[in-house]
Parts: sequence; structure tokens; C-alpha cells
Amino acid sequence: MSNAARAPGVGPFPPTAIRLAGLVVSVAYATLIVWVYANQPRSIGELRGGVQSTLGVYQIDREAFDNGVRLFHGGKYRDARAAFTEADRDRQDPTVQFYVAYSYYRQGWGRFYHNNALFERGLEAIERAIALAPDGQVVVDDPALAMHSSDELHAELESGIRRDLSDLNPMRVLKERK
Amino acid sequence: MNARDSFPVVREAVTLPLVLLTVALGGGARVVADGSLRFVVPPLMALVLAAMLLGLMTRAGLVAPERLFSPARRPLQNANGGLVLLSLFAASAQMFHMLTPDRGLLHLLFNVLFLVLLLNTFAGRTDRRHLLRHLLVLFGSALVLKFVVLQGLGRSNGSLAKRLFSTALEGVSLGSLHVESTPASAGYLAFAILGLFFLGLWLLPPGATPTRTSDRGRDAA
Repeated sequence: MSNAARAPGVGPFPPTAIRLAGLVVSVAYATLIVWVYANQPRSIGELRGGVQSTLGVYQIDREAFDNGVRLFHGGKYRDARAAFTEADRDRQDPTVQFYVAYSYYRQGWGRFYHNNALFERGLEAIERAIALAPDGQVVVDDPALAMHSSDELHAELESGIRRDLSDLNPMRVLKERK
Repeated sequence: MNARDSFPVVREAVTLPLVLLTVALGGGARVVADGSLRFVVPPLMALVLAAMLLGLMTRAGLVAPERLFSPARRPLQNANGGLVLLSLFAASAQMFHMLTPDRGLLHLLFNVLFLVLLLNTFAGRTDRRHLLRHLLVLFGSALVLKFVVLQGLGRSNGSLAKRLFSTALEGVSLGSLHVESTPASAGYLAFAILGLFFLGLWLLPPGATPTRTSDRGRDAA
């Protein structure tokens, strides 16, 4: 028997139990560290939310979300985003992030030119939503929206930022906001 | 059973992995200007330096890998010991990463400095106590350089450090040096992580000093 095996335990706990518990805790901690480096939470709140989301126990504030959706459909995009932030404090819910991105799209859309700063923030939000979605796509069943999937919204935001020859097409002014 | 053979099970299975893994987590954390966190994986050079440091630690008797991982130990004991060694490697890599500027000429200079100082220590004979002192001076100096001196240079207002270095480095463009500006909390975080790293080193099971003959055979018996 090795020397380490003869090491005394602590109180009523035998060394094997301590070793096993230590191994489980350490492996769990190492897994958390790998998760943190892979998911890059930007604050302690996001870290907490991310862990809860991974464990399937993360919940949004439903009332604040419904209020945000109502404000969004009423065209009050800034207020809607404040409500969405309230609903999804740790930015872990793909549907809420989809609406955040959509609010940036609608607020930034213009018949003659788009607000690139808002479109870029919308792109960040939709990419966050895509990253959070389990199958890499968010689908929102809202009849008041013209775009229901994250792929459509992502493509629309990207094409709004991109500068190419189609920007010079005069027919562009006939396009409708989605 | 002598003092060297006995190594507290709680220290090996719980304390050391948690301390070293915390260093591995915090060493890559970067506090950016808006107060948010960013976690950066260590570059290849940090891994190389960490591997060299582990070799140096073993040689100096700062850690005895055979007391953590060997055929004479049971699988569960080897799992605990192996985790300590892996955590030590990750923590060492993140220490080099944390204390090195992220890019620019200073990144290169710091890496060369670490490499030369480690090789220099390799060339000489050193024991546990001297290596601990050496690392304290090396990492402590790097911390002061990166988070006190260079941060002073990076600030827009004219601090004493900025005036002194502007004089010393007259003719050298600070643009080429690429001085990064980080919040003051980054320095405090680095100080805490450095302290935790040295606590981890101090808790490691010591090996035989280079002047003593190895008693690996006795352990295995």
C-alpha cells in the first residue's frame, strides 16, 4: 500500500471520500472554466445567467417581455429595448435577443439610407441570439413580423450595412421595411 | 513515515486544485475600459514558458511529480495528483500570459525576458527556497512593470512614471511600444491572482533538493 493511501482523513471522512469529493468538485470547476473561456461572459450577471441557461434553469421576466413586445409593436423601440433588458438581464434568451435585434433593425431602417450604428448593434444582438439557440436558429411565431427567423433578420441587417453597387439603384427607395 | 512522505489529502484533493484552477481562470481575465470582462486563452509562448517553469520546479524540488502521479499510487490518487499537475501547468501558463502585455513590441520584449531569465535559472543550481524567491522577484517585477509603470505611461494625464519614461525612452515612439490602457481594477486583480499562485506553489509537495539523492525508490517501495 502506498504512503498516500495511508494518509489520515479529516474528522469522520475517510481519505477516499475526500479524494472523490475533491475530484468531482475540481472537475466541475475546470468544466466551468472551459465554459467561461468558450462563451466569454462579459459580466458576473452574464456568467450566472449562462450557467443557469446551460443547466436549463434560466428564466426571463415574462411580464417585462410582454411589455417590451407591446412597446415594440407600438413603434417605441428604445422603450421596448429597455423592457427587453429588464426581461433578460443576463442576455441569455434567444427570443428576447431576436426582438432586441429586430428593434434595432426597425429603428435604424430608412428609405434613403440606414443608420449603420443601429444596424451593427442589431447584428451583434442577432448573432448573440443565434449563438444562444440550441439548434443555431431562432424562429419567432409573431404574425406582426415580416421576418420570423434569425437567418432572415441576420441577412437583412448584413445587407443593410454592406456597401455595394445595389446602393445606387434608384428602385431601392421603393423597398418596404420588414 | 517521515515528514516528506505525509502529504495532507485535503490539500492534494481539494485545496491545491481549487487554488490553481482559480489562478488559471483569473489569469486570462481582462478588465476592459467599460468595466466588462474578457477571457483570453494563453498564447503558445505562454505554454512553452509554463512547460519550462514546470521542468525548473521539478529540478529545484519545488514540486515532486512522483508524489502526485506514479504507478505506486492508486487510480483515484493519481487522478487527484494528475489534476494538480494539469492545474499547475494551466496556472503557470496564465501567469505568464497575465503578466505579459497582449501585443506590440513590449509583448515580444517581455517574452524574451522571461525566456532568458528561466534559461539562466536552468543553467545554475537552485533549490526550492531560492526558486520561490527567484519567481517572486521575476513575477513581482513583471507585475510592477505592466500594471504600474506601463499603466502610468498609458494614462493621458502626465504622471511621474510617464515623465520619467518619456525622458528615458526619448526618441522611441510610444506607438511602437503599444502601451495598453486598462482600468485600475485590472492591477488589483492581477495582484490577487499572483498572491494566489504563490500560495499554490507554497502548498505543493516538495521534492528532493538538487544536492540530495533522489528517494524515488524508497517511495515506490
